[in-house]
Amino acid sequence: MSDDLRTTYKGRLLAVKDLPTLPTALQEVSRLLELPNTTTDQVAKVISFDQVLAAKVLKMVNSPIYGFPGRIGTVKHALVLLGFNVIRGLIISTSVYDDMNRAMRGLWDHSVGCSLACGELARALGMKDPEEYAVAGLLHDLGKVVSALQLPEAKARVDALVQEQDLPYIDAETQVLGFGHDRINAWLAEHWNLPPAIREGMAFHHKPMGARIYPQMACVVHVGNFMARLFEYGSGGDDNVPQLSPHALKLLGMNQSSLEALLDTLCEKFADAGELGFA
Amino acid sequence: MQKIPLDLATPGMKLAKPVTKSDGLVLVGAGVELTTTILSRFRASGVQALTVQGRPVDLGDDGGNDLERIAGRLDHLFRKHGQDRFMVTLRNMLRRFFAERIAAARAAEEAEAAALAAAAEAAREEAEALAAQNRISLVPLVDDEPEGVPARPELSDGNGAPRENGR
Repeated sequence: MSDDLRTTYKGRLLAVKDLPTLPTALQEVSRLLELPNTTTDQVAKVISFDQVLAAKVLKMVNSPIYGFPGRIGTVKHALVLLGFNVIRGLIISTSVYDDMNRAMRGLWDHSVGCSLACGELARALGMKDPEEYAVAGLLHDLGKVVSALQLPEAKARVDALVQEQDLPYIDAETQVLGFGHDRINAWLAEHWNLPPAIREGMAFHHKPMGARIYPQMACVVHVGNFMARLFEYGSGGDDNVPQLSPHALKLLGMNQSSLEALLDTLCEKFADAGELGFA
Repeated sequence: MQKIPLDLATPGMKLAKPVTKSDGLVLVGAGVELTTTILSRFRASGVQALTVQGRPVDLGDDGGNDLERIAGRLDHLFRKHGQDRFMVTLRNMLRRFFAERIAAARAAEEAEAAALAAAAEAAREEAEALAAQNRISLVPLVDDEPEGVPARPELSDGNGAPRENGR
């Protein structure tokens, strides 16, 4: 794979800001967050102004993923409870996936499943702000969506490879593009100025030991992704479980019994998470 | 336990989890048996799905938590990792885990069925006992009637008089 082609691909991928789906509200929110004296009220107002977006955000924060189903009625309340980072992640994920509504339904379900698993795992491990882990899980396959949107011909070849040679999706991506969606995730996270923890969770969920600053985040998303694949909640593009790294389990301090406890929780949670389409 | 759409719920099913409105208000608690009235209330309140005991409806797709389906898929999902010792160990652990949970679920289901049967049997016995008691209490009443007639008006008079005074 020549460097030129790779640069071209990167440029086309990062043109996502031209996507019709990324709402102007997101730019406005990002701008506000950089100002030191922004209040929750201001941000809530910007999001509420876009009714469709506000509805999507409220639907997601009231889902079982975040642990307070059916109690958050206003965007401001959601911001106070979950924080700016989580809401920003929600805006990005719901907006980007929206465009793929029909074609990539399975991937959205997979992301929701991973998000649920990450949130539960972070909670079980007593991590601070489990919601941020859940959002990193929600965003972990964003690179797949964006590459499908920006490089549809490459996506078709990747799908064909997965079908014909029974390859894992990421291997097929590497063959066609020269890099996988984890790399795309890193670019996107940088491009959208996502916080470093979420960026590492997105970029290193296949190689959690590569994360420098927040290895725990990467490990949680790594395990969450494995769980969503194991339960086959939605579809990540192929039907394999990814390699689970024993080092990641060790870093998180997990053993067989905590793994079984997580499996038990997820059996119940996945039954509950039934219908989380975008609508 | 099974989550089903409201349209498939029928009277007689029992709730395994409370039904809440979208604002979190609990409409009906767990363990309550559904009736047509409750179901029409749910419809009016915009409830879309509820979780009932047992597996009364065959939905085909079980939303991802069907233990037997996952257990059956393990070998297929792990097919790329046959050479990796850790992944093989993990697969074996998962196989054992799901086998245990399936066995536990079966035992729980049988226990639930047995409890239901026992409850039905107890209810039937109670009804019989009650009927028998009614028969017993009826028999002396019928027998006593010829002699007991004078006694009864006295009793009712005794009760009735103070009540009227009291007013």
